[in-house]
Amino acid sequence: MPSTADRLVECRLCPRRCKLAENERGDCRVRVNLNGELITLVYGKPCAVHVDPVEKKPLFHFLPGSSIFSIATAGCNLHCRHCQNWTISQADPETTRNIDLPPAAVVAATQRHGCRAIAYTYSDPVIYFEYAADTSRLAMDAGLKNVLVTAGYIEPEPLAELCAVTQAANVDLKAFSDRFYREVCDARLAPVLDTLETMKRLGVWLEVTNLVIPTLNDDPGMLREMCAWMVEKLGPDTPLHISRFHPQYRLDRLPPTPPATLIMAAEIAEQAGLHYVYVGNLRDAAHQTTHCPRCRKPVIARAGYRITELNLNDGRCGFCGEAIPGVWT
Amino acid sequence: MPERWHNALFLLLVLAVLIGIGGVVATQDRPNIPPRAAMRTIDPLLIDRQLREGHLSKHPARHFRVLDGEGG
Repeated sequence: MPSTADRLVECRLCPRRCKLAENERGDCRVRVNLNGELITLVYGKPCAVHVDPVEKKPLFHFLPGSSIFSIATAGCNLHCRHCQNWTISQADPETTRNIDLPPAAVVAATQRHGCRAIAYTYSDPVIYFEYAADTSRLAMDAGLKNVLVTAGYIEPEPLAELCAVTQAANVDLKAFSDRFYREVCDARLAPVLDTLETMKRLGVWLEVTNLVIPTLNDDPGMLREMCAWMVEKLGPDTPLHISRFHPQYRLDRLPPTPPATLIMAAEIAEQAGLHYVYVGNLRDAAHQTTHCPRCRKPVIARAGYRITELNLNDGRCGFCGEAIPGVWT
Repeated sequence: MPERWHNALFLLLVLAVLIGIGGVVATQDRPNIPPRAAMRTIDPLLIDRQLREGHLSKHPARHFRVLDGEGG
């Protein structure tokens, strides 16, 4: 490890490429040039640990009905004004309630809770990269699967390292607009699109979430463009979760997304050719059901995070035998 | 309908329109305010103390480059 005493360090984990003088922290809040040494303050120190339904991530084509051990640390490399986890994502790790949970302890706890996978989630695993990558490696050795729930704002080299130990990801594609990324999230769109393409290429099972916010990213033209890009670059079998916005954090004066807007977005996605389109944060069983793209019958029906019907045999539609893409075993 | 009722209804209608417009304006967020940036400096004494207490870790980070002789 090179000494960084009296030198600037450029962090190459995410596209921000923060340049840190001694005793400065990166924009993510957790990577610090401490007395000339670049360190992460949150390795093995999560501030959120829960067992969740995998459907909550949301992942609808990944071990349906299973529980997933979920962890997060403080910090984030985006600063979304609508962040639902802002109390930890926009907090310094000195101020959060952290517990001591090194990688081996995460794996042991996952097994103890009967979970088959670990989700690196809530804030963004990119900023606790070393912790997520090392834990993932141990988890794979123990026969567990790893899931990233991320905004995908990461440089190609660390991304490839993470993909090598990751089986599934839900990437939050916040809008198909660089302006939205700049003004609402303090980030850029292009690196996120690169991440999505890389994950697809490297064989990570990929699902995409798009939170539709009234007046900011609900333009039908933009949604059409985003879905066309997904069909072309990620393939029509990539599930898209269209999610309802609720006012919070710094966007607390906007109204919740009208249900009609969400249905409109889902119709646009289906017209664009996506086979698996879901609407989240809304009580609408029809848009939470996985339909077979061939016979149109319900393969997996859900009520909230609960599976109410499962007509899937070895990854195939229980009615017509059509292969349904996903990670099922 | 008597004229005063007609006028009252008209005023109510105008009021409702104004309240509606006001409501829309009030709920529009201003997209040009930059998001909150993180504080860039740290308190080394606080970090040292929390490292000793086990609240934080001092794990070597990967994926960085030392900038030799470059300005900030």
